[in-house]
Amino acid sequence: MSGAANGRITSSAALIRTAVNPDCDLVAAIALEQESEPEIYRQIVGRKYEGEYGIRPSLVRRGAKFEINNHANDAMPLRKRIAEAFGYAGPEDVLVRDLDKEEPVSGHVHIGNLRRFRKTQKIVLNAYRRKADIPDLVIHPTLELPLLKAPDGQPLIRGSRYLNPDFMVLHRALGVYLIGDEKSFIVRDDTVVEPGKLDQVRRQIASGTLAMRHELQSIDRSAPIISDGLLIFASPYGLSASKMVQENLAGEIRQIENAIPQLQRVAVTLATLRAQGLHQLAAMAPHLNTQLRESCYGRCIMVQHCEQLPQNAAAALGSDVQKLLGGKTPGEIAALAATAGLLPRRETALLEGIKQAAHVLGIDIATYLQEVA
Amino acid sequence: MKGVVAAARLLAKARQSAVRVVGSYDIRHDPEETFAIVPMRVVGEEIIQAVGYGRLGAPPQVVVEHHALSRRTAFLIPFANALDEYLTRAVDLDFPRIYIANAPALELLTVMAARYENAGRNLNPNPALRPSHEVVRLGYLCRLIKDIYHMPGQQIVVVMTEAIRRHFVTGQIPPKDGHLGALTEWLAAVAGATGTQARADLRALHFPAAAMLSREDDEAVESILHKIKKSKSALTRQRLQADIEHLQAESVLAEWSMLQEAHAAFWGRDLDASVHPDITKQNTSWLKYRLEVVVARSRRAIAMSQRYEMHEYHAGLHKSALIAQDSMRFEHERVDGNAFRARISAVRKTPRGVQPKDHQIDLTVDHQPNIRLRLGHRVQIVGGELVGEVRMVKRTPVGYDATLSVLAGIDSAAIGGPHRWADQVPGKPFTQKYYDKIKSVLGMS
Amino acid sequence: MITDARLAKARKIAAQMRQLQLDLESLQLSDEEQGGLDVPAVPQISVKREQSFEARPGITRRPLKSAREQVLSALQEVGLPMLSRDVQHYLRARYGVGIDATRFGSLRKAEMEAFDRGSQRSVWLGYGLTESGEAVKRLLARSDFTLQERVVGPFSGRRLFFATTARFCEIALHEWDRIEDFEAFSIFVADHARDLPGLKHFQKGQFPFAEWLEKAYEALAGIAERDLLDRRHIAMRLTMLADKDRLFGTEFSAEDRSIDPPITAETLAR
Repeated sequence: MSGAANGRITSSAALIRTAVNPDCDLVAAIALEQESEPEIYRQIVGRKYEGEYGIRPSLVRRGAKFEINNHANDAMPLRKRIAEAFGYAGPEDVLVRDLDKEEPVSGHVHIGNLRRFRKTQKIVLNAYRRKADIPDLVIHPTLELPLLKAPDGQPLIRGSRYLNPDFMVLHRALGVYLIGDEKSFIVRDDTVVEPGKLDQVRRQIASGTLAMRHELQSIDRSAPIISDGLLIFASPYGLSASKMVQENLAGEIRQIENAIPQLQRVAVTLATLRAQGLHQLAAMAPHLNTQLRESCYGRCIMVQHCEQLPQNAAAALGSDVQKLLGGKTPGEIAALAATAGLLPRRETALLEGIKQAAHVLGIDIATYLQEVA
Repeated sequence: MKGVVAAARLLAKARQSAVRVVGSYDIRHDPEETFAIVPMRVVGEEIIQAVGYGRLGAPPQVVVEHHALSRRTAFLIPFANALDEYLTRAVDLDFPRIYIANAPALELLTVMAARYENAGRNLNPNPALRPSHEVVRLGYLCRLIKDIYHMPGQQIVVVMTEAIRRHFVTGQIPPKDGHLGALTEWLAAVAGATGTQARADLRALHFPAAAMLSREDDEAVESILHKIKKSKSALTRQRLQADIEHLQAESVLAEWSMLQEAHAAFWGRDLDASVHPDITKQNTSWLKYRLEVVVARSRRAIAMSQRYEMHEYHAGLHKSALIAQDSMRFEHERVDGNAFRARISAVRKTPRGVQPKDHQIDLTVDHQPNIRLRLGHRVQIVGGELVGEVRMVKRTPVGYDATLSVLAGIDSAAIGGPHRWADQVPGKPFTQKYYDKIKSVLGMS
Repeated sequence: MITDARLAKARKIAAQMRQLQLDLESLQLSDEEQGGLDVPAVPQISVKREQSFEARPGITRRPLKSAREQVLSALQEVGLPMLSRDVQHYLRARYGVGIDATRFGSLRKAEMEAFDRGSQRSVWLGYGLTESGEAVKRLLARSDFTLQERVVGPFSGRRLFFATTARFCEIALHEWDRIEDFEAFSIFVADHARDLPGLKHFQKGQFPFAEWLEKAYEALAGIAERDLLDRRHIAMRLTMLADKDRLFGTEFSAEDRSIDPPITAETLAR
């Protein structure tokens, strides 16, 4: 699980987690309340979280070093990859503007975000208007997600509505920027060595692209709708950047878009609970719906807690088992099997499936149901 | 297959013990001598900091590098030599068997392969930074291991977590099955036990089992490295270095014993033995040749498409062999619709001298919910010679009627049954026939 | 900007001679072996830059100075605005002075506070300025650099990369015997030079400073004029700024979004 050093989830991470599990109110609430995850765990479960939490220091260092290398010398490594990928004559033709130099990301968070956002807006506008000397590469742009507003106009995610993608690259023909991310994962033979992490990165870029879409829409209703994003990883040899890859992220963007109404819904729920006198998330948690999924493992700190909840018993063995049982409990299936009369088609198919499976396992259905129920 | 696995999972949970989903092992029993590799990496950098190796069942040899990021590789030389010696010996005696605990460990070896082979090709201008030839060879051997791993039905490289999951299903949610310790708890538990999940969870909590140090140990190593940097006394530095090496060795030993436990539990389940002499011989001779001659990676299109063709062939061969040896696997295929039971109800042989030949047989196929019989589909009696191509399929109240054109084995066709039928066993692709021809001409085995 | 062709040629030759001398040094000949050679003394040619150098004795280790002073003198030696990261590495290799990366933030704060207090200082630690007058917080400069030198146009990032790399090469060639950790400094220069355009073979462990210097000047020639034009324009526009803003960049308060007037295409165009 990788939360920030203070245990708080960034707004893009909040979006992504909600997108991956839109039926779980608890994960949305944790994202909205911006409290430290281990602290929330302790409050709800009543004891300290014992597992591994947070990114390993070696990974943080590696990521930081990768970035520094890529941005050195007017971002030459990035310029090279961009020149290759976008057909420039050479890296010297790629114009760079580094917003981190102007307003460091490591500085004051809120002021920095605001300032970088304003600069980014100006750059995006000028590019769209095809002004001269527009940077081809912008490092550390900042974008806003204006939909992350509660009905009363206040930001949904307390204190954080900005996204900070790693870079953006100009698509000269369209006059718009594509959002990109640089990650120090190793690629070998054009595939990322740890593919599970690839999905996470793509969703991150998707959030940034969604924010960029909104920015463009606010400039011009008929602006092109971007669906592509850019990725750069590390080669297996040292920390050098590998090829830049452009990918279509329409699916991920759709997924993230769907997360926003969910966040808004849960924000309303939390407000209602507050109005009833419950203020701490720990107190509100029992009133929030949870939805245990296989994707929760390795992603959400509350998984150990949710496993134990009776409402999640059916999901406790994963989606394939849920499918086999048609969402019913083993006990309900046993009852069905014991029914004398004709059953509706769906239930018949369910039973037939279980019967077949049991047969393959070398056990008859009656004995099987007896054991599992 | 998925449905069966899901049902098995429910059953395993009820029994608090892993349930088998196949009747036989898909790998042969170990040869006399095995070789296990348990590496530890620096997370993210994918650099080896420690390696345990040697015969499973005995304590491992362990080599460590306290400051892995220094990129020093000399510590790997004993490991490189031991692996080389083992492989060279084993290809002559019987066949090699390499045990690896989990997927991250295999990935690590793969990255190492790329790195060290590359270091051998693109020499660093600074001779002090060049890895020794033993380490370059280690890179090559790791590439061979990776290549073998990807061959269908291969018998040499066993990734323990994957091997277990191919044969058994635990009663826990699938994401937890990645942890070798948790898997082993379920595998070793006897039906009717209690608290298996709790034990499995505890194992997963305290040890990552992913070719890396625990978080605690990782942070301890970091802080000691920091102290070493600041220390002014050579004696203190030595002592601190030994502290790091101790932590690394401990982690290796922990994962090594986890692997041993898993190995014993896996074979202890006593499934039927597997029968794969041909593929083993093929794997071994493939490896033997490459131990003697350094073969570069095929990057040209023709070589790669040949490899793909061979891959498909072996995958088909392996699948057919498994279905033939294991009735439970046959049942899996039936559930998925890729296999069926049928009686031969009629045989129509084209008389001798008449052309064109079109021998035909009629089948009465037992009912099953899913079936993938289509026109043109080629099927074969499991373990038999008779191969036919579907000419007609028709549903009946009790199953299906089908007519096949016989492509081979008409002499063995007779009314009767029931027989088990599955996809046609693939024939040798041109590439394989070509190699076989060359080998026979050269008098090679 | 070097406009005198003769001078440029002289620089080039002097640089080559320096490089050769360095290469000779690296062979580490004994006194005897060296005696057998017939090497003429290399005349010292150093081209004065616009600013005057501090007269410096041959000692490499500096007397204890504050971080602020170290940074200011590094900027003076190099004579160009520098990224804080470069200042850090430069001071470390050149003088063995360690400045933590986090220090630069507090230096800025302290400097601004001193300005507000009305302190008298001969030179202030200033910053690069964008065309809208905002600070480029990682780009450090001195108050006695002209405004034109401190502002940043679209090509200035590139130009500064070339110019500072050239300057680092010069320092390696001219001051090699007065550098605390020459190996580290060489690596520092190499880390920049490796990304110079037109560099044919970059070999790790080799330090052909003269060649790099030439390449850096070539690269500079390509964009220096264009960049200068842009900077002149920007500097002209920014002369209206108040003293403090001209030094540290304009500062506007961090209002909350809800209080802000909505940012529309029109308001941005203004």
